[in-house]
Amino acid sequence: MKATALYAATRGSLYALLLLSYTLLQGCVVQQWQSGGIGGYLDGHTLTDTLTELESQTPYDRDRPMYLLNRGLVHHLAGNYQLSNQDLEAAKMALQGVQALSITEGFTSSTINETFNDYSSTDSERVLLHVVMALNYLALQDLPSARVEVLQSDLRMRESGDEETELASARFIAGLVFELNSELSDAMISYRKAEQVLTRRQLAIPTLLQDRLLSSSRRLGLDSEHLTYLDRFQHRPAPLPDNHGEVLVLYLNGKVSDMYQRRISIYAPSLEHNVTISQAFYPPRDRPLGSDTTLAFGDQGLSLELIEDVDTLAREALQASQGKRMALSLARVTTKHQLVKSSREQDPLLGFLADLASILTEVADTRSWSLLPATIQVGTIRLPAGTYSSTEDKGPDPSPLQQTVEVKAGATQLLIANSYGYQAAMTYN
Amino acid sequence: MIRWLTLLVTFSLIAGCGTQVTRLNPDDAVDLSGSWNDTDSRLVAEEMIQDALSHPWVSQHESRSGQSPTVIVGTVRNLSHEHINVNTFVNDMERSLINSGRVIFVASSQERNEIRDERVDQDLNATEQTRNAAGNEMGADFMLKGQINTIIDVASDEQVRYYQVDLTLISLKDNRKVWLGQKKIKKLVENSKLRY
Repeated sequence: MKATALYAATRGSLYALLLLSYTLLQGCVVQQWQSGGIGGYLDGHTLTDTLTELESQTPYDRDRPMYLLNRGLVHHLAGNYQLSNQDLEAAKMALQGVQALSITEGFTSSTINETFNDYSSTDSERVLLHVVMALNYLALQDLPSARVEVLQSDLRMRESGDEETELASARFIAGLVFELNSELSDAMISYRKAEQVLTRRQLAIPTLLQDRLLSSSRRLGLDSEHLTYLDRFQHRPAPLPDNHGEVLVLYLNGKVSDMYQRRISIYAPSLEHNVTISQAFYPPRDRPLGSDTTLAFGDQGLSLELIEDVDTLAREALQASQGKRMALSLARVTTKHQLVKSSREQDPLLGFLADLASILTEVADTRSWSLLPATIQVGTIRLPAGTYSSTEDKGPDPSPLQQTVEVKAGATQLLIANSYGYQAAMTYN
Repeated sequence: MIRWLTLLVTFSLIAGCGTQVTRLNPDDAVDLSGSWNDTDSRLVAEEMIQDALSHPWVSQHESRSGQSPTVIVGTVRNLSHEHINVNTFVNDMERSLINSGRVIFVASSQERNEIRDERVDQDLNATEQTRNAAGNEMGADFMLKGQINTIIDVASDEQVRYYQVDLTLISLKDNRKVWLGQKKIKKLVENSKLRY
């Protein structure tokens, strides 16, 4: 008798709890929230804190490539180039293993949601992985290994066969690596491809790339092409003055936008239960991504120019996947409807639970390489030989770190920097 | 009975999930990804050095100078699409050359620095009888240089990986190229379109 009463009370409480949850979720409800990823964490913390936070996490196996990409990028931004390459190489290997279509993931995607899938990254993320690794190797003055990465990025871009996968930054850095390796013909091809990508995307050609195209075409004797560039860019790069060196800057600026989830739950009277659809989205940019970075070398300033709008690439990748995501959402609506219907026929409580589960499990996949820079910028400045202190000009706020840049006559000084204040400078003759 | 069978099946499934280690013979060829691997390194080194030793530059040098040629390995550049550990390839070549017994091998420029440091140290700290004096190094007659190149053709889930290893033996006396060796490897890599 006592047990029966206890059972009734428990069952009553459970009903009350479920009813409350159901009431909160039912009706035409639009909810949106940010994925609680590491991207949001970096906004309010330092790189060291973010790294500590990442180290404290134990990702699911399916999310491990994303975890490694993010940790590898934090290492890069903090100047730990070897550790960055270790993580990014491991991510590269892991991503290779998940490129094939998974049978089980096809099933879970059309029944539960897509977050149970292995993280496989977008095409542009896979190319940017090579870009960051190439920058790491350049910072480590390991030109042969940087060359391997730019060849792999070329292979990756050819593999997809989609010209939207072509990244101007990857092509430009490839050109730079080939040029530093005295392979001018290959450098010219890469610079040309970088210019084609930027033109197709209706972006301005940075002065640094203009100079590279003009000087490479002249040195290779491509007279007709050289004249075309002269006509188009309306300037001729002056020869490097005596006792001067060149500083090339590759700069990772900011962080891509955070991806959010929007969940719409509507009660469908004809089905007699809720229909829930979740979609990932990026909110509109609150400010334009411009080339607003200025580096100071002593009393001389260098305004950087955009070569890659990574934020737009992330948005385009999401946009391109929305058709597939919506199709899977609709497939899940059908599957979950069948589940609710058959459960309700067995027991109303079971049907109620199935309905609740169908709402709660409808979660959008907002996973991404969320720590990628918003933009990649480049610039060049010619300075008399000497030692300079390089800082980012942030108005009244001083840059957190300064980098000593040793400019040698006739040499190229490569400066790899980011908006978190870390910089690495190395000389290539 | 059914309970025992269930337990046995469950146990077998769990056991199958554990890490499994199988010891392999280092000479076994195991291709996992289609990338350059230890087998490629070893086979290319052995075949190219055999080819090098079968050409007349060895006998010509022996008849001219009355002794075996002295060889040093210079730079082998990795110009491929992969992070190839060139050191293992260079070590494989050195081993094949030394074990042939037909050439004398001297230490490379990096190794020499360490040995010279040791000699300087001996000069200060070793006894007269055991000390090795500077200035007695054997100079090389020939330098072996080379590069590893790749061409990768890719379409959908298939890749053709073409490796070309070029080695050149150059006479240090007069810059003559006395031997040019080339070894090609071509692999078709088919990636599965489906996974579990």
